[in-house]
Amino acid sequence: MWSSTRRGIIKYDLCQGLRANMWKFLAGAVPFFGVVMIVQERSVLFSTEPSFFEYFIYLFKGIRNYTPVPGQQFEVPILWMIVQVSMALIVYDYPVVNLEKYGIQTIIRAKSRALWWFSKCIWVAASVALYYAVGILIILGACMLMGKISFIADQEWNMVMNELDVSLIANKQLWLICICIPLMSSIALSLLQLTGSFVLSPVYSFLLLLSYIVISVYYNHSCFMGANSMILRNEFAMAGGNTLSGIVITNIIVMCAAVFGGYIYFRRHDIY
Amino acid sequence: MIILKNLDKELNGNAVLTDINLELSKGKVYGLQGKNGSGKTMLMRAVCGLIKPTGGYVEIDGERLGKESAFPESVGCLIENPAFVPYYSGLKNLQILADIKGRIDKKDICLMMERVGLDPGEKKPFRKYSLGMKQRLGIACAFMEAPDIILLDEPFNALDTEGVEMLKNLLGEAKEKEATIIVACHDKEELELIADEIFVMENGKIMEHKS
Repeated sequence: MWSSTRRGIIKYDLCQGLRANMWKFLAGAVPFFGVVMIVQERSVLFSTEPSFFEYFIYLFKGIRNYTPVPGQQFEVPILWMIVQVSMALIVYDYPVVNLEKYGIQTIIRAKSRALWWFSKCIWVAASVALYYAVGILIILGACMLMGKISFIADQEWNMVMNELDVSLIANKQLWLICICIPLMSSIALSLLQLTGSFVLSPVYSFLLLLSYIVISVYYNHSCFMGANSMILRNEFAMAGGNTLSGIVITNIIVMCAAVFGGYIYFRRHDIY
Repeated sequence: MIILKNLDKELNGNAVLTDINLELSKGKVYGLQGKNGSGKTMLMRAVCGLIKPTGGYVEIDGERLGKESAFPESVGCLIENPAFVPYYSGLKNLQILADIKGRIDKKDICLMMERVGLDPGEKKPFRKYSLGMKQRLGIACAFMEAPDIILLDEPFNALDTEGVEMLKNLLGEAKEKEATIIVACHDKEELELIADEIFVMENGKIMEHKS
């Protein structure tokens, strides 16, 4: 009985929640199309076609640690930022609105606030994963249009375009820093946003998350993990950069804090 | 049996329910009568386990809500406006909800939809339903799993004469199956037609009990 209820509510959230936000996934694909256009436009400068990784490194490279120097402007990593905003918009108010409307029917049938809450956490993780899947498909499509799909990062390309020496990075590590780490960091931040949307409100949670991400880009401090997904800030791109194990541990701590902290709050939350 | 003992609820510093004491038996229809904002809907939410009492408790068949159980074991409700997924058909909406418990199948849902005067084969999404159709779907949702407790908030809204008759029949059948039914309505006459006992509410308090 428990397992059929659990399956039922998770299925409900996945089918209904993903469908409800379909237009946001489409709108959120803009940065992926943006990176495809930029990379393809600049490909004339190089002798080889860009590989799958060139697109992702360009998208998630971000900026190196910022040290304020008089006269030097703070450069906002636009594409990276748009990806973060897109994911924050996907989560935005869906869980709160769902609870106020048809969520009442699901929660009384599930007979468990925990089940409802964890189902929403699964929805958040699935939505972020789907968003990345959309991005991967768009970039694979772009690679195909360019003639071939290659998963070998080009040294020249990345030195010039991304200021990254890929000869120091194994292919498996590229998968980690280009896909796995950004995905995990995005899930951690989105779960934090989910909890915030119930504790504060969807609008405040959204604005707070964006402020936190901007501060994370500006200040390089372990408390600000918003920039964890930036490739140029990790140990492969700079001496003393964020270690992969450090990023993974921070993300796991944030995920657990968001999921369990949110649940503790939600247990006492009035639904009306 | 549902027992509400010294039930208080405050929201943002305002008392929305004050010292509610009720004992509700199986196989009866209880009416909650009162103006808008008198606390009828909040009382239903408390019985559903959706709001946590500030004081007192709700006990259902010997189990206190919020302690022994978070929600009633078997409850069907129509609280405020019927809210469903706007782009799914009526049948799909009920099916996806029924899948959570897995107690009834598509055939049962179709039968219930026909009982309330809706066509299960209707492909029209919920957002294109008329007000009356939305209300009928909400009623079907509350009754479809034959719950032990049925909570209906303003169930007569947007129903035509035929719809009112259908609702009365459903209530009668649920009573025979020993369900505890609470119906909130601002209209005294409509409530008197269906309720065995009526509680008049005002400012979150029970002011009068009519048998």
